[in-house]
Amino acid sequence: MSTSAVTEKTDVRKPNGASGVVDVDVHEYYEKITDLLPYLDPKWHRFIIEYGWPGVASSWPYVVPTVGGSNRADSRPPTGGPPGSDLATMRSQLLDAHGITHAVLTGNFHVASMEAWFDLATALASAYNDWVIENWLERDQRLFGSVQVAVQDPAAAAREIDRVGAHAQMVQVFLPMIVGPRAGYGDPQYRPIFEAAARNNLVVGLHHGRMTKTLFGYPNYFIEWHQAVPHAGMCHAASLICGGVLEEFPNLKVVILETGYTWLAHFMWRMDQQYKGLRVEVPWLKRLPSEYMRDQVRLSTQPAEELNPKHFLQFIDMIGSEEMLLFSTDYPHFDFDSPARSLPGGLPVELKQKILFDNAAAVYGFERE
Amino acid sequence: MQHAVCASEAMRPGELRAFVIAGKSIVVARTGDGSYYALRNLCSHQGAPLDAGRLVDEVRSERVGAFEVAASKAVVRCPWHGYEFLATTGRCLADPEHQRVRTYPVTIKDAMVLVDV
Repeated sequence: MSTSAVTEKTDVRKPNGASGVVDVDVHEYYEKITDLLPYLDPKWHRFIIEYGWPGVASSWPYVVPTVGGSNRADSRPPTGGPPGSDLATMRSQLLDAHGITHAVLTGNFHVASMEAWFDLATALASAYNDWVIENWLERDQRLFGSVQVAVQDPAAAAREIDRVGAHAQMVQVFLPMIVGPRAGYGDPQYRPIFEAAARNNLVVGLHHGRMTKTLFGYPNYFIEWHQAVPHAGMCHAASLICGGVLEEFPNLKVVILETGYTWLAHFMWRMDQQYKGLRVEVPWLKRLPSEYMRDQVRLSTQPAEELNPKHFLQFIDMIGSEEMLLFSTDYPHFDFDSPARSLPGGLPVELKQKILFDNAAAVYGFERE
Repeated sequence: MQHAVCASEAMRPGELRAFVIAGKSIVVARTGDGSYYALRNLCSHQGAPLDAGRLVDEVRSERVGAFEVAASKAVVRCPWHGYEFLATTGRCLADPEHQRVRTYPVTIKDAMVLVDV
Protein backbone atom coordinates (compact mmCIF):
# COMPACT_ATOMS: atom_id res chain seq x y z
CA MET A 1 0.00 0.00 0.00
CA SER A 2 1.32 3.42 -0.83
CA THR A 3 0.30 6.54 0.96
CA SER A 4 0.86 10.11 0.07
CA ALA A 5 3.23 11.98 2.29
CA VAL A 6 0.77 14.81 2.43
CA THR A 7 -2.29 12.85 3.56
CA GLU A 8 -3.88 14.06 6.77
CA LYS A 9 -3.40 11.23 9.23
CA THR A 10 -5.51 12.38 12.10
CA ASP A 11 -9.06 11.25 12.69
CA VAL A 12 -10.93 14.32 11.55
CA ARG A 13 -14.54 14.67 12.59
CA LYS A 14 -17.14 16.66 10.72
CA PRO A 15 -17.63 20.03 12.37
CA ASN A 16 -21.10 19.23 13.58
CA GLY A 17 -22.98 19.73 10.37
CA ALA A 18 -22.07 23.36 9.72
CA SER A 19 -22.93 24.32 6.16
CA GLY A 20 -19.30 25.11 5.46
CA VAL A 21 -16.21 26.21 7.27
CA VAL A 22 -14.47 29.53 6.80
CA ASP A 23 -10.88 29.58 7.99
CA VAL A 24 -9.85 33.23 8.31
CA ASP A 25 -6.16 32.73 9.01
CA VAL A 26 -4.13 30.52 6.70
CA HIS A 27 -0.46 31.21 6.13
CA GLU A 28 0.83 30.63 2.65
CA TYR A 29 4.49 31.12 1.96
CA TYR A 30 6.93 31.09 -0.89
CA GLU A 31 9.69 28.50 -1.16
CA LYS A 32 12.42 31.08 -1.59
CA ILE A 33 12.65 34.83 -2.04
CA THR A 34 13.59 34.40 -5.69
CA ASP A 35 10.07 33.05 -6.34
CA LEU A 36 9.01 36.69 -6.26
CA LEU A 37 11.44 37.85 -8.94
CA PRO A 38 9.06 37.35 -11.89
CA TYR A 39 6.67 39.71 -10.14
CA LEU A 40 9.23 42.22 -8.83
CA ASP A 41 10.24 45.37 -10.66
CA PRO A 42 13.51 44.38 -12.41
CA LYS A 43 15.36 47.32 -10.92
CA TRP A 44 15.43 45.41 -7.65
CA HIS A 45 16.55 42.06 -9.00
CA ARG A 46 20.28 42.64 -8.70
CA PHE A 47 19.96 43.40 -4.98
CA ILE A 48 18.63 39.89 -4.50
CA ILE A 49 20.51 37.93 -7.17
CA GLU A 50 23.81 39.73 -7.32
CA TYR A 51 24.18 41.27 -3.87
CA GLY A 52 22.39 38.53 -1.97
CA TRP A 53 19.68 40.40 -0.06
CA PRO A 54 18.46 37.56 2.17
CA GLY A 55 14.88 38.55 2.78
CA VAL A 56 13.20 40.41 5.60
CA ALA A 57 15.04 40.00 8.88
CA SER A 58 14.01 40.81 12.42
CA SER A 59 15.63 40.80 15.82
CA TRP A 60 13.10 38.28 17.15
CA PRO A 61 15.27 36.21 19.47
CA TYR A 62 13.39 32.93 19.95
CA VAL A 63 13.09 29.42 18.76
CA VAL A 64 9.69 27.82 19.21
CA PRO A 65 10.34 24.74 21.37
CA THR A 66 7.90 22.35 19.73
CA VAL A 67 8.42 19.29 17.54
CA GLY A 68 8.19 21.33 14.37
CA GLY A 69 9.24 24.75 15.59
CA SER A 70 6.85 27.45 14.40
CA ASN A 71 4.96 24.94 12.30
CA ARG A 72 3.13 21.66 12.60
CA ALA A 73 5.79 18.99 12.39
CA ASP A 74 3.80 17.24 9.67
CA SER A 75 3.36 20.31 7.50
CA ARG A 76 6.60 20.34 5.54
CA PRO A 77 5.57 19.50 1.97
CA PRO A 78 7.20 16.82 -0.20
CA THR A 79 8.36 19.57 -2.54
CA GLY A 80 11.02 20.39 0.02
CA GLY A 81 9.88 23.96 0.58
CA PRO A 82 8.86 25.41 3.90
CA PRO A 83 5.46 24.70 5.47
CA GLY A 84 2.69 26.56 3.71
CA SER A 85 4.56 26.72 0.40
CA ASP A 86 2.77 23.98 -1.50
CA LEU A 87 -0.86 24.19 -2.58
CA ALA A 88 -1.28 20.43 -2.93
CA THR A 89 -0.18 19.93 0.66
CA MET A 90 -2.44 22.70 1.85
CA ARG A 91 -5.37 21.15 0.02
CA SER A 92 -4.66 17.74 1.48
CA GLN A 93 -3.89 18.76 5.05
CA LEU A 94 -6.29 21.64 5.44
CA LEU A 95 -8.93 22.34 2.82
CA ASP A 96 -9.96 18.77 2.03
CA ALA A 97 -9.15 17.20 5.37
CA HIS A 98 -11.11 19.71 7.43
CA GLY A 99 -13.88 20.66 5.05
CA ILE A 100 -12.67 24.22 4.69
CA THR A 101 -14.89 25.81 2.07
CA HIS A 102 -13.32 29.27 2.25
CA ALA A 103 -9.80 30.08 3.41
CA VAL A 104 -8.46 33.58 3.83
CA LEU A 105 -4.74 33.65 3.13
CA THR A 106 -2.81 35.95 5.41
CA GLY A 107 0.75 35.26 4.34
CA ASN A 108 3.91 35.02 6.28
CA PHE A 109 5.47 38.07 4.80
CA HIS A 110 6.73 40.76 7.09
CA VAL A 111 7.95 43.69 5.02
CA ALA A 112 6.60 45.83 7.83
CA SER A 113 9.64 44.68 9.82
CA MET A 114 11.90 46.71 7.58
CA GLU A 115 12.94 49.79 9.46
CA ALA A 116 14.32 51.43 6.35
CA TRP A 117 14.42 50.96 2.56
CA PHE A 118 10.67 51.43 2.33
CA ASP A 119 10.63 51.64 -1.44
CA LEU A 120 11.95 48.08 -1.60
CA ALA A 121 9.37 47.04 1.01
CA THR A 122 6.64 48.55 -1.16
CA ALA A 123 7.95 46.82 -4.27
CA LEU A 124 8.14 43.49 -2.46
CA ALA A 125 4.57 43.82 -1.23
CA SER A 126 3.40 44.39 -4.81
CA ALA A 127 5.38 41.44 -6.07
CA TYR A 128 4.03 39.25 -3.31
CA ASN A 129 0.43 40.20 -4.10
CA ASP A 130 0.84 39.33 -7.77
CA TRP A 131 2.55 36.08 -6.80
CA VAL A 132 -0.35 35.16 -4.49
CA ILE A 133 -2.94 35.94 -7.13
CA GLU A 134 -1.25 33.81 -9.78
CA ASN A 135 -0.03 30.93 -7.65
CA TRP A 136 -2.77 30.58 -5.09
CA LEU A 137 -6.00 32.45 -5.74
CA GLU A 138 -6.23 31.56 -9.39
CA ARG A 139 -5.48 27.92 -8.68
CA ASP A 140 -8.15 27.25 -6.07
CA GLN A 141 -11.47 29.03 -5.76
CA ARG A 142 -11.62 28.22 -2.05
CA LEU A 143 -8.75 30.60 -1.43
CA PHE A 144 -9.13 34.31 -0.78
CA GLY A 145 -6.36 36.84 -0.45
CA SER A 146 -5.10 39.60 1.77
CA VAL A 147 -3.45 42.60 0.16
CA GLN A 148 0.02 42.90 1.65
CA VAL A 149 1.29 46.44 2.01
CA ALA A 150 4.31 48.25 3.37
CA VAL A 151 2.65 50.26 6.11
CA GLN A 152 5.81 52.35 6.45
CA ASP A 153 4.62 54.29 3.40
CA PRO A 154 0.84 54.67 3.79
CA ALA A 155 0.35 56.54 0.51
CA ALA A 156 2.11 53.77 -1.42
CA ALA A 157 0.15 51.20 0.55
CA ALA A 158 -3.08 52.86 -0.52
CA ARG A 159 -1.97 52.76 -4.16
CA GLU A 160 -1.26 49.04 -3.83
CA ILE A 161 -4.69 48.43 -2.32
CA ASP A 162 -6.26 50.24 -5.26
CA ARG A 163 -4.09 48.26 -7.69
CA VAL A 164 -5.05 44.76 -6.57
CA GLY A 165 -8.04 45.30 -4.29
CA ALA A 166 -10.57 44.81 -7.06
CA HIS A 167 -9.51 41.20 -7.68
CA ALA A 168 -12.57 39.06 -7.00
CA GLN A 169 -10.74 36.91 -4.47
CA MET A 170 -8.98 39.73 -2.64
CA VAL A 171 -11.07 40.30 0.45
CA GLN A 172 -8.81 41.96 2.96
CA VAL A 173 -5.97 44.36 3.64
CA PHE A 174 -3.38 42.82 5.92
CA LEU A 175 -1.80 45.05 8.55
CA PRO A 176 0.88 43.75 10.89
CA MET A 177 0.37 44.60 14.54
CA ILE A 178 3.52 46.51 15.20
CA VAL A 179 3.77 47.59 18.80
CA GLY A 180 6.70 49.72 19.71
CA PRO A 181 8.38 52.09 17.33
CA ARG A 182 5.34 53.25 15.41
CA ALA A 183 1.91 54.62 16.31
CA GLY A 184 -1.27 52.55 16.40
CA TYR A 185 -3.38 52.34 13.27
CA GLY A 186 -5.77 54.99 14.54
CA ASP A 187 -3.02 57.55 13.99
CA PRO A 188 -3.85 59.96 11.14
CA GLN A 189 -0.74 58.94 9.20
CA TYR A 190 -2.45 55.63 8.35
CA ARG A 191 -5.74 57.11 7.11
CA PRO A 192 -4.87 56.58 3.42
CA ILE A 193 -4.78 52.85 4.07
CA PHE A 194 -8.24 52.80 5.64
CA GLU A 195 -9.64 55.09 2.96
CA ALA A 196 -8.36 52.69 0.33
CA ALA A 197 -9.72 49.65 2.16
CA ALA A 198 -13.11 51.32 2.45
CA ARG A 199 -13.35 52.38 -1.19
CA ASN A 200 -12.40 48.86 -2.27
CA ASN A 201 -14.86 47.23 0.16
CA LEU A 202 -12.08 45.28 1.81
CA VAL A 203 -11.88 44.04 5.37
CA VAL A 204 -8.84 45.10 7.37
CA GLY A 205 -7.08 42.19 9.07
CA LEU A 206 -4.62 42.75 11.90
CA HIS A 207 -2.08 40.08 12.78
CA HIS A 208 1.01 39.98 14.94
CA GLY A 209 4.42 39.08 13.65
CA ARG A 210 7.97 38.97 14.75
CA MET A 211 8.04 42.76 14.90
CA THR A 212 5.34 42.68 17.58
CA LYS A 213 6.81 43.46 20.96
CA THR A 214 5.54 43.49 24.52
CA LEU A 215 5.84 46.09 27.24
CA PHE A 216 9.25 44.58 27.93
CA GLY A 217 10.24 44.60 24.30
CA TYR A 218 11.14 40.97 23.74
CA PRO A 219 10.78 39.15 27.08
CA ASN A 220 13.09 36.31 28.07
CA TYR A 221 11.01 33.41 26.84
CA PHE A 222 8.93 32.64 23.78
CA ILE A 223 6.05 31.57 26.00
CA GLU A 224 5.99 35.06 27.54
CA TRP A 225 6.05 36.74 24.15
CA HIS A 226 3.39 34.45 22.71
CA GLN A 227 0.95 34.91 25.58
CA ALA A 228 1.31 38.70 25.26
CA VAL A 229 0.12 38.84 21.65
CA PRO A 230 -3.44 39.84 22.71
CA HIS A 231 -1.98 43.04 24.14
CA ALA A 232 -1.12 44.09 20.61
CA GLY A 233 -4.71 43.44 19.56
CA MET A 234 -5.98 45.53 22.44
CA CYS A 235 -3.63 48.42 21.70
CA HIS A 236 -4.56 48.56 18.04
CA ALA A 237 -8.28 48.15 18.76
CA ALA A 238 -8.11 51.04 21.21
CA SER A 239 -6.20 53.09 18.66
CA LEU A 240 -8.76 52.41 15.92
CA ILE A 241 -11.60 53.40 18.22
CA CYS A 242 -10.04 56.48 19.80
CA GLY A 243 -8.43 57.60 16.58
CA GLY A 244 -11.90 57.71 15.04
CA VAL A 245 -11.27 55.16 12.29
CA LEU A 246 -14.35 53.11 13.15
CA GLU A 247 -16.46 56.26 13.48
CA GLU A 248 -15.18 57.63 10.20
CA PHE A 249 -15.70 54.39 8.27
CA PRO A 250 -18.91 52.89 9.68
CA ASN A 251 -19.03 50.12 7.08
CA LEU A 252 -15.44 49.04 7.69
CA LYS A 253 -14.91 45.66 9.31
CA VAL A 254 -11.70 44.89 11.21
CA VAL A 255 -10.67 41.33 12.00
CA ILE A 256 -8.07 40.85 14.70
CA LEU A 257 -6.34 37.58 13.97
CA GLU A 258 -4.62 35.03 16.15
CA THR A 259 -4.95 36.76 19.48
CA GLY A 260 -7.43 34.32 20.98
CA TYR A 261 -10.65 35.91 22.08
CA THR A 262 -11.14 35.88 25.83
CA TRP A 263 -9.63 39.37 26.15
CA LEU A 264 -12.65 40.77 24.39
CA ALA A 265 -14.93 40.98 27.43
CA HIS A 266 -12.24 42.64 29.52
CA PHE A 267 -11.35 45.06 26.75
CA MET A 268 -14.89 46.18 25.99
CA TRP A 269 -15.74 46.66 29.65
CA ARG A 270 -12.58 48.59 30.31
CA MET A 271 -12.85 50.77 27.22
CA ASP A 272 -16.42 51.70 28.13
CA GLN A 273 -15.40 52.44 31.69
CA GLN A 274 -12.59 54.69 30.52
CA TYR A 275 -14.71 56.43 27.90
CA LYS A 276 -17.49 57.37 30.31
CA GLY A 277 -15.12 59.55 32.28
CA LEU A 278 -12.69 60.61 29.57
CA ARG A 279 -15.00 61.31 26.63
CA VAL A 280 -13.81 64.92 26.40
CA GLU A 281 -10.49 63.71 25.02
CA VAL A 282 -12.13 61.97 22.04
CA PRO A 283 -15.43 63.80 21.49
CA TRP A 284 -15.61 62.63 17.89
CA LEU A 285 -16.77 59.27 19.19
CA LYS A 286 -20.55 59.00 19.15
CA ARG A 287 -21.05 55.64 20.78
CA LEU A 288 -19.60 53.51 23.52
CA PRO A 289 -16.39 51.74 22.47
CA SER A 290 -18.09 48.38 22.99
CA GLU A 291 -20.72 49.37 20.44
CA TYR A 292 -18.07 50.08 17.81
CA MET A 293 -16.51 46.74 18.68
CA ARG A 294 -19.74 44.77 18.33
CA ASP A 295 -20.58 46.40 15.01
CA GLN A 296 -17.21 46.53 13.32
CA VAL A 297 -14.56 44.37 15.00
CA ARG A 298 -14.27 40.60 14.84
CA LEU A 299 -11.77 38.20 16.40
CA SER A 300 -10.50 34.93 15.04
CA THR A 301 -10.80 32.07 17.47
CA GLN A 302 -7.28 30.67 17.30
CA PRO A 303 -5.49 29.93 19.52
CA ALA A 304 -8.70 28.75 21.18
CA GLU A 305 -8.38 29.27 24.89
CA GLU A 306 -10.18 26.05 25.68
CA LEU A 307 -13.05 27.23 27.79
CA ASN A 308 -15.49 24.61 28.94
CA PRO A 309 -18.98 24.90 27.39
CA LYS A 310 -20.46 26.63 30.41
CA HIS A 311 -17.75 29.27 30.50
CA PHE A 312 -17.83 29.72 26.73
CA LEU A 313 -21.55 30.49 26.78
CA GLN A 314 -21.03 32.84 29.71
CA PHE A 315 -18.32 34.57 27.69
CA ILE A 316 -20.67 34.99 24.71
CA ASP A 317 -23.21 36.48 27.10
CA MET A 318 -20.58 38.83 28.51
CA ILE A 319 -19.59 40.23 25.12
CA GLY A 320 -23.25 40.56 24.16
CA SER A 321 -22.85 39.16 20.68
CA GLU A 322 -22.78 35.82 18.85
CA GLU A 323 -21.34 37.52 15.77
CA MET A 324 -17.87 38.53 16.90
CA LEU A 325 -15.95 35.25 16.64
CA LEU A 326 -14.64 33.83 13.37
CA PHE A 327 -13.08 30.40 13.23
CA SER A 328 -9.45 30.05 12.15
CA THR A 329 -6.87 27.28 12.07
CA ASP A 330 -3.60 29.22 11.67
CA TYR A 331 -2.40 26.47 9.32
CA PRO A 332 0.43 25.43 9.09
CA HIS A 333 1.59 26.81 12.42
CA PHE A 334 2.21 24.59 15.41
CA ASP A 335 -0.79 25.80 17.39
CA PHE A 336 -3.22 24.75 14.66
CA ASP A 337 -6.88 24.59 15.70
CA SER A 338 -9.16 21.94 14.25
CA PRO A 339 -12.70 23.05 13.35
CA ALA A 340 -14.01 19.83 14.87
CA ARG A 341 -12.12 20.02 18.12
CA SER A 342 -11.19 23.54 19.10
CA LEU A 343 -14.61 24.81 20.10
CA PRO A 344 -16.20 23.42 23.26
CA GLY A 345 -18.39 20.38 22.77
CA GLY A 346 -22.10 20.69 23.21
CA LEU A 347 -22.51 24.26 21.97
CA PRO A 348 -25.85 25.09 20.36
CA VAL A 349 -25.72 24.14 16.69
CA GLU A 350 -26.76 27.64 15.64
CA LEU A 351 -23.89 29.21 17.54
CA LYS A 352 -21.38 26.78 16.10
CA GLN A 353 -22.71 27.50 12.61
CA LYS A 354 -22.14 31.20 13.21
CA ILE A 355 -18.58 30.79 14.44
CA LEU A 356 -17.56 28.27 11.81
CA PHE A 357 -19.20 29.97 8.86
CA ASP A 358 -21.90 32.60 9.08
CA ASN A 359 -20.00 35.30 10.96
CA ALA A 360 -17.03 35.22 8.61
CA ALA A 361 -19.28 34.89 5.57
CA ALA A 362 -21.06 38.09 6.60
CA VAL A 363 -17.79 39.96 7.05
CA TYR A 364 -16.05 38.74 3.88
CA GLY A 365 -19.12 38.41 1.68
CA PHE A 366 -18.99 34.64 1.23
CA GLU A 367 -22.03 32.61 0.27
CA ARG A 368 -22.94 29.14 1.43
CA GLU A 369 -22.05 26.31 -0.87
CA MET B 1 -42.90 72.02 46.06
CA GLN B 2 -40.73 75.05 45.45
CA HIS B 3 -37.95 75.87 47.86
CA ALA B 4 -36.08 79.18 47.93
CA VAL B 5 -32.41 78.33 48.25
CA CYS B 6 -30.56 81.62 47.81
CA ALA B 7 -30.63 85.05 46.20
CA SER B 8 -30.14 84.85 42.46
CA GLU B 9 -27.04 87.01 42.61
CA ALA B 10 -25.54 85.04 45.48
CA MET B 11 -23.98 82.51 43.11
CA ARG B 12 -21.18 83.33 40.69
CA PRO B 13 -21.43 82.35 37.01
CA GLY B 14 -19.95 78.88 36.67
CA GLU B 15 -20.58 78.01 40.30
CA LEU B 16 -21.93 74.73 41.67
CA ARG B 17 -23.39 74.95 45.15
CA ALA B 18 -25.03 72.23 47.23
CA PHE B 19 -28.22 72.71 49.25
CA VAL B 20 -30.15 70.26 51.34
CA ILE B 21 -33.76 70.45 50.22
CA ALA B 22 -36.44 68.20 51.66
CA GLY B 23 -33.73 65.98 53.03
CA LYS B 24 -31.98 65.61 49.66
CA SER B 25 -28.66 67.06 48.64
CA ILE B 26 -29.28 69.10 45.49
CA VAL B 27 -26.58 70.82 43.45
CA VAL B 28 -27.55 74.13 41.90
CA ALA B 29 -25.58 75.32 38.89
CA ARG B 30 -25.36 78.86 37.60
CA THR B 31 -24.04 79.11 34.06
CA GLY B 32 -22.16 81.93 32.42
CA ASP B 33 -25.32 83.27 30.77
CA GLY B 34 -27.14 83.44 34.09
CA SER B 35 -29.22 80.28 33.71
CA TYR B 36 -29.80 78.02 36.71
CA TYR B 37 -30.11 74.26 36.87
CA ALA B 38 -30.58 71.83 39.72
CA LEU B 39 -29.54 68.18 39.86
CA ARG B 40 -29.36 65.51 42.51
CA ASN B 41 -25.98 66.02 44.13
CA LEU B 42 -25.03 62.40 43.72
CA CYS B 43 -23.21 61.02 40.71
CA SER B 44 -25.13 58.07 39.29
CA HIS B 45 -21.87 56.23 38.84
CA GLN B 46 -20.33 55.92 42.31
CA GLY B 47 -22.12 58.54 44.34
CA ALA B 48 -19.63 61.40 44.28
CA PRO B 49 -20.89 64.85 45.36
CA LEU B 50 -21.28 66.71 42.08
CA ASP B 51 -20.91 70.13 43.71
CA ALA B 52 -17.21 69.29 44.13
CA GLY B 53 -16.93 68.88 40.39
CA ARG B 54 -17.02 71.56 37.74
CA LEU B 55 -19.62 73.30 35.59
CA VAL B 56 -18.28 73.34 32.04
CA ASP B 57 -19.41 73.81 28.46
CA GLU B 58 -20.03 70.69 26.42
CA VAL B 59 -17.09 69.61 24.28
CA ARG B 60 -18.14 67.99 21.04
CA SER B 61 -16.71 67.25 17.64
CA GLU B 62 -17.80 66.30 14.17
CA ARG B 63 -14.31 65.58 12.93
CA VAL B 64 -11.39 63.63 14.33
CA GLY B 65 -8.92 66.00 15.93
CA ALA B 66 -11.38 68.90 16.12
CA PHE B 67 -12.84 70.22 19.37
CA GLU B 68 -15.87 72.49 19.59
CA VAL B 69 -17.03 74.03 22.83
CA ALA B 70 -20.77 74.60 22.99
CA ALA B 71 -21.29 77.45 25.41
CA SER B 72 -25.05 76.90 25.22
CA LYS B 73 -24.76 73.36 26.64
CA ALA B 74 -23.90 73.34 30.31
CA VAL B 75 -22.39 70.16 31.68
CA VAL B 76 -21.83 69.16 35.29
CA ARG B 77 -18.65 67.13 35.52
CA CYS B 78 -18.17 64.67 38.36
CA PRO B 79 -15.20 65.38 40.64
CA TRP B 80 -14.09 61.76 40.72
CA HIS B 81 -14.12 59.93 37.38
CA GLY B 82 -15.09 62.87 35.20
CA TYR B 83 -18.53 61.69 34.10
CA GLU B 84 -20.37 64.50 32.30
CA PHE B 85 -24.05 65.18 32.91
CA LEU B 86 -26.03 67.59 30.77
CA ALA B 87 -27.44 70.19 33.13
CA THR B 88 -30.74 70.29 31.27
CA THR B 89 -31.50 66.57 31.30
CA GLY B 90 -29.07 65.00 33.76
CA ARG B 91 -28.08 62.46 31.11
CA CYS B 92 -24.51 61.31 30.88
CA LEU B 93 -22.95 62.38 27.58
CA ALA B 94 -21.01 59.15 27.15
CA ASP B 95 -23.81 56.78 28.11
CA PRO B 96 -27.13 58.63 28.03
CA GLU B 97 -29.23 55.47 28.08
CA HIS B 98 -27.78 54.04 31.26
CA GLN B 99 -26.39 56.92 33.29
CA ARG B 100 -28.34 59.95 34.43
CA VAL B 101 -28.91 62.00 37.54
CA ARG B 102 -32.26 63.43 38.44
CA THR B 103 -32.92 67.06 37.55
CA TYR B 104 -35.29 69.53 39.20
CA PRO B 105 -37.01 72.60 37.79
CA VAL B 106 -35.52 75.95 38.79
CA THR B 107 -37.23 79.32 38.58
CA ILE B 108 -36.14 82.80 39.57
CA LYS B 109 -38.76 84.79 41.42
CA ASP B 110 -38.29 88.02 43.27
CA ALA B 111 -34.52 87.67 42.82
CA MET B 112 -34.58 84.33 44.59
CA VAL B 113 -33.60 80.90 43.21
CA LEU B 114 -36.48 78.47 43.66
CA VAL B 115 -35.93 74.72 43.25
CA ASP B 116 -38.96 72.48 42.81
CA VAL B 117 -38.37 69.22 44.69
